Order: sequence, then structure tokens, then C-alpha cells
Amino acid sequence: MNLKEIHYGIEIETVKRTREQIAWAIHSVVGGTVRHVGIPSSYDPWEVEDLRGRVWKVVGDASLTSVPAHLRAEVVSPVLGYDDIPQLQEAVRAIRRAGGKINSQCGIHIHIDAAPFDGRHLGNLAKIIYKQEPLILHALGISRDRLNRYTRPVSDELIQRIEQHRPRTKDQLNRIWYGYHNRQPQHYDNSRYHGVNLHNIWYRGTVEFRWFEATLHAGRIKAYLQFCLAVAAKALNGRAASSRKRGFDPQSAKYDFRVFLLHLGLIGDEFKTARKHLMANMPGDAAFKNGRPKPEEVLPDETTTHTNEAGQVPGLTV
Amino acid sequence: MKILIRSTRLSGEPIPGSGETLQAADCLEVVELMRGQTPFTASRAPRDYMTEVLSGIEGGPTQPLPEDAAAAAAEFLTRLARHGLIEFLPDDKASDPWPERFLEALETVRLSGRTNMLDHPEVTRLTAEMGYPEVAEWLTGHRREYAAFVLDGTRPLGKNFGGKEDPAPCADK
Repeated sequence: MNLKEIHYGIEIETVKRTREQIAWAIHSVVGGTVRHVGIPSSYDPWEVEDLRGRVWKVVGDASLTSVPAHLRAEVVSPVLGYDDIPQLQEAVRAIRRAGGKINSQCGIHIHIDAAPFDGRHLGNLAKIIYKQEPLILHALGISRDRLNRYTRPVSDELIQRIEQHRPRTKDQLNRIWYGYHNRQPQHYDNSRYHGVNLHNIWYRGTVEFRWFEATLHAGRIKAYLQFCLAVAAKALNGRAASSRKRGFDPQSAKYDFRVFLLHLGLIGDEFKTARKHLMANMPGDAAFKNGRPKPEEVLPDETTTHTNEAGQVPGLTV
Repeated sequence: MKILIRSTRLSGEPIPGSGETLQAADCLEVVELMRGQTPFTASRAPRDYMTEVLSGIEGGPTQPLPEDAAAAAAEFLTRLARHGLIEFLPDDKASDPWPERFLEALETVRLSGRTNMLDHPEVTRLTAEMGYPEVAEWLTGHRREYAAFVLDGTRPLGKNFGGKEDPAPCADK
């Protein structure tokens, strides 16, 4: 399955502008109608139904405690396809133009449609992430606080259980994830606070990637999306995946991560900006695993110039 | 619906903050207005016009538009907006006018001294109690307009944008 065939959704948290203002900013790009739903009042949702009949939601987010309640907004996109990335980028730019801001509490969550996945694919996904996690976490520049609370790494026990039981179906993976067969997952289940949240598969039908610090930089958002889609496509297309964790070597990190991105299929001009944004935080050299070799010192020329008694080279006048 | 068609540079890049506004009932009518802007495009069939414009922007053969004319027009405008060439603006709807005795009712409630005028539910209850049922009904459905009236003495504009001009386009491709 090609990464361009996978559907996704995105949640972007913003501050400093009201939900109404953010909704109108999105409307300026997608058209259609803006409606204040208002119920439930704790979320105070606004909806923008675009010209294709898809609904973009702007809801309140109680986790953004550093700003007044009316200036907290979370944009929830409809189900989008790869071709919608330019429109999403324009919407992000419109939010920025409208004065929307982000702070350290804001985040971005990307949801990948879990319908094409079975237990084996999801096991592959967990293992791919587990193997490369030291590089991924460094590349995305996740704060220590977010890492400890909201985007915990893939646990060793989960990978051990996947290796041991080799799940074939989502139900088998459900037992591995929860430790029992959870038939009625709740929204705020504690297991959701992982960088790769598999709890959402049974709650909402998506795999949720929760790593990202918020940004209103359209290029970075596109890079994050392409990265998640590429990882998902790799998991779907692979027969198996290695779970041997890769160490983090500052000298070769940039090279290792670039190789990983190319293996994911993020190769060529189309993904040039994705590679640029994703590798920006990495130390080392993108082209040399062990650092760029230093040019050899130029040895002084063996031929000697003869000087006369006055120390001058014959034939030259001072 | 109302759109702003941005002017473009010779390279085809939209110029921020520029353009002219078109308003019509729906997407089809907007496309008709766009098509009628020059004699060169006015003679083209709507579908041919849309396809030509899109192929000029997107280069080469484009993804075909839906069969249904209205859906095709909506898709066409969506794709123009995706490239930043048009912007959808809020419609100029005349806001729901307040009832005839609105000011009189509020003055009566204010002079009674029985409530803080920012207490919307209490003001609504008192206007009904004091013989202004139509004002009470209006207040029930227009909480935001009432708040804006009390605080500013005007109607809310319903628009956002903190007065900032379009910034220069940035390299966030």
C-alpha cells in the first residue's frame, strides 16, 4: 500500500485566538458555512462545513491552562487524503495570519486510519517505532515533560509480548495492549499517553501519533504527516520487522536518521522539505556516518627556493 | 457566498492582501461571474473554463472534476483556495435586527435596578416580566449580540483577523 493511499486526520492546538476566530480563518480557505454548535458546553464546538461537505471542528481544550478558557482552541480536521495536504497547509497559514499562536502546552496529534491494519501490521508498526525511537524522539525535539507525561515511549514489555504472541488480529493485539480483552475502551484510558497510541484503534479506529510539539509552520506539519504516513505504509507493506533497538550515536545520528527516512520511502524532491525539517535537530553529518573527513593537510612543496645573501629570491625586485 | 480573487504575479504567485471580491448565491454562480470577467473566457463552456484554469495552475493534465455541475464548481473553488488564489469571505448577512422596543425594554430593566445588566439570563427574565416578551425571546437567541451591545454599544462584527495585514509569504513549503 502506498503512503498516498492512507487516510489521516490531524488535531492542532492553538492559543491567543477564540474558537470563532479560528473557525473563520479555516473557512477563509475551505469555504462553506461556519456554525456555532456550542454543545457540549465544556468543548464549545464550532464547525466549518466545507464545500465538499466535510466538517472541520474547532473545540475547547482544557489542557491549555496557561490562557483564558475562551482563547483555547483545538482544530480537528475531517478525514483527509494525501491530496488534501496543500489545503491543510493553507488553513494552517490562515490560522497564523489570524493571530493564532502556540505555546509549550500545545501539541499536534496525527491520526492514521487503522482500517487497513491487522494485528501483524500493527505489531510491525510498534517494532519499527521501538527500533528507531531514540532517533525519532531526538529528531522531533520533544520536551522532557511531554515525553514523561503525554507521549511515553513504546515499552519494552509491549514489544516482548508482541514477539512472544505474534498477534494476527486486532483482538489478539487488544489483549496484549491492555493485558486483558478490553471490549469497551474509554476515551481517557491511561494507556493512551504513548507517542504511538494503539488504544485509539479500539476507541476510534485510528492509530494516533502524539509525539509532536505544536507548530503553525505549514512545512513542518506537512513533514510530520508525511513521516507518519510513511511509517504506516512501511508497517503495512513489510512482512516482518526487527525490534532490535538502535542506540543513539551523536556522531552518526543525522546519517542514520536520513538512511531511515530513505528506507521509509521519503526519497526524492517530493519529500525534500520533509527530510529538511525532520533532520534539522540531528547532530552529525547527513552524508558521512563517521563525520565528514577533514581535508588532508597540504604538505609544503619539496622544492626549495634558493635565496641570495640578502635573503631575496634572485630575479625578484622588492 | 463571497470570495476574494487574489491578483497574481507574473510567476502565478498570489499577491497577499490584493484582489477583488465576488459575491453570489452559490459556487456555480461564483464560477459564472468569474467566467464572465473577460470576453476570452465568457465564450467558454463552464467545465472547459474550469479545466483550463486548473491546468494552467497545476500544470499538465489535472484531476478531472466531478460530473455534477455544482460539485464541479465546489471542487474548482476548493482547488483555487488550496493554491491561495482565492479566499472565502464571510457573507454580508444583515444581522438579525433587534425588536422595535429593545432599547426601551433595556432602559426599563436598567432603571429598575434589579439586576446587573451583564446578567443575561436575569435580564431576559425581567424583560419578559416587565411586558416585553418579544425582547425576551430575542435575547434568548442572541446572547453574543446582547453582550456586544452592552459592552460596546454596537453589534459584533462576527469577523476575526486582529487587524494584521497579510504578512509576506514565508518559506514554509
